[in-house]
Amino acid sequence: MHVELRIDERVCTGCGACVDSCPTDVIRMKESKARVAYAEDCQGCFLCEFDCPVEAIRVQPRRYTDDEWRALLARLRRTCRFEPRL
Amino acid sequence: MSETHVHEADVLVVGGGVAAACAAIRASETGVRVMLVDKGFYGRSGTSSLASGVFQAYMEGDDLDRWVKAHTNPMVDITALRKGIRVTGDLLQAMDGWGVKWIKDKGRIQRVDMAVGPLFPVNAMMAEGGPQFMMALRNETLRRGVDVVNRVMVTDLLTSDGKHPTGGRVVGALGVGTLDGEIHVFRATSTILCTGPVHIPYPRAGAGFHGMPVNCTGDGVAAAYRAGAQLSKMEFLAGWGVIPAEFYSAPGLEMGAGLGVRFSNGEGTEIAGGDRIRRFRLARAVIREYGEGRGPVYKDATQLTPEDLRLYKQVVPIVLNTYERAGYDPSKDRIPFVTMLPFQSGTLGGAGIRVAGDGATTVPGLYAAGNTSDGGFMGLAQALNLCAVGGWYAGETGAASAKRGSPAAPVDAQVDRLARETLAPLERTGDNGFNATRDELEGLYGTDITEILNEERLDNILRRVRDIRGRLVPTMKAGDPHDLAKVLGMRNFLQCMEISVEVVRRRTESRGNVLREDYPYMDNENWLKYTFARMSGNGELDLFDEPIPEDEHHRIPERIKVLHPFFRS
Repeated sequence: MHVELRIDERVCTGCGACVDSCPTDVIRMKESKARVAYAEDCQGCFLCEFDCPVEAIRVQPRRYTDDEWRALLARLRRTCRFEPRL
Repeated sequence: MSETHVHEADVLVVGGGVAAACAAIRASETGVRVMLVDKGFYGRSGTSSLASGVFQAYMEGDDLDRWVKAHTNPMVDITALRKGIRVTGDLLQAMDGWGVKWIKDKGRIQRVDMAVGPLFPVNAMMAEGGPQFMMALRNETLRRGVDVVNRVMVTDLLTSDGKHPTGGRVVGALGVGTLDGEIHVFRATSTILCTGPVHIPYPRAGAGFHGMPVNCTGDGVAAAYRAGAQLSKMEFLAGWGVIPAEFYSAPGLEMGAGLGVRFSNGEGTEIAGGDRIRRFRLARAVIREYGEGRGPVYKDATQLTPEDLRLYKQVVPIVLNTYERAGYDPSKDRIPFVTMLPFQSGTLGGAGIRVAGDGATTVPGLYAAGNTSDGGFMGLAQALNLCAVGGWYAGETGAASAKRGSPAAPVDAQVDRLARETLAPLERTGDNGFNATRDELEGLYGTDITEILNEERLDNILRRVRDIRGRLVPTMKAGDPHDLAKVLGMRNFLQCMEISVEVVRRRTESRGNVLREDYPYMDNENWLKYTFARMSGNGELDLFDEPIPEDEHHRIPERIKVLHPFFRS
């Protein structure tokens, strides 16, 4: 996804709130700390960050690169054309 | 085989959003034993916890006709809509008591003008975002003694005759733990499916897919279809909308528009704003700008007052947090918006399981609500408010039915077969996993799947989806139970998608947000019909339609062809 999930181990108290919060089961407990176990499944919904009682989590969305924008605009220019058969 | 857990309840609620919450709470009020099973953690899963806090509810003194007039679509059952709107008011007050934090002024729930959008063009109440809203509903559900099972994905329904499709009734469900891969058998007299919309599973980063939730993959819709329930309005899975680029957040557009958000193109020219942010006008403007190379299109909230921006952030916290964290300052910067292609999100059009006004499906023992259902034609797309009402109805009906019976024993052979099929991806080897299948599926979007569809492209989509279902779904392997949930979700999504493509091909017109360049007219001569899909006895897809009744509950337009508003310019 377009999101990077960062958990600050030094701040995490291992309470597990974020493990419950994650709709897509991205975070798991390991050695009494929350760890990002399935990074590519993060949808960037912020629920873990909202629920962390000690602000140990930061959800960082990534903006499209110039190349990604170029590809998307080219696709949209192609697919947003239409000729209704009136 | 892994360990099997057996649960028993009078009413089983599958899902964890507002429809599931209302179903579970209503059923528990009647004194029956209620169990709720959630693919995620109840209160933090699905669509509702990601929603904005906008909840359009009736208040004493409101003009009911004004609400109803907004729905000119002949498919809407006006009588059901009127009844549903009244219930939204009751639920608003009840939720206040359950701990939902409504935005209040001197103790009174505040309303904001919602001038636009696919929802009702009337004032709405606001809670402090979906996360707070759903946590309050979770707490109320637990307070009432509902048993909650978290992190179990229900994969199939159990039937009294052990058959799919059944000639008998639904007697519960089978699921798999997404953490441990263990099988769960739920025996229940009534089963209520509230598993959210049909959304494309876990799209790739940077590939131009936008929207949430990525794990609401049509699990309930597909399971109900396999068990023999009829589906309706499946063509509306091919609807499309506008959505912020780059991120995975959509809700709150109507509220933003109500506050005065505008849209402009890459050259800085305003293309929609004020009363021009009507559904099809905005859609047409966005498509035209991109098609003619004047993208990106931006959402512009820079003219909002600081107070309105604060309110916007309070009600739509996920979206506004996303903007700010990505470096957009909504008070200064414009936010890029793009189109969302068809076959990506079932929240837009209300495709789902056919239910009667009381939430009953076409199979005894099975009920459905929210975006999993067709909403009983109270509306087309269902927002938080009508999902809540549908859940309330289904909870009441399911509980009443459960009181008259007792949980029947499932058929052992069916349990064994479904458990084997559910766990099969864990045993497979080979090269094909979730990602390989997902990448092939995504190859359809932007090639054959375009904003405006036509017969040739629909034929191609159907051929390619059938190929993926035949070649890749049976060979998808899962590395662990987490991966298994994704693989099973992909299977379900593709099943729903194939049905949807078939129905769109058949409906030779443009209607709602499903647009065809080869049939740009709303064909009120031939297509004032509801479409339905079911599995026939030999496992084949059976499509049929029924005319929209000409009665006092429906607004039937003149039976002529009229150009769809999208194509009028």
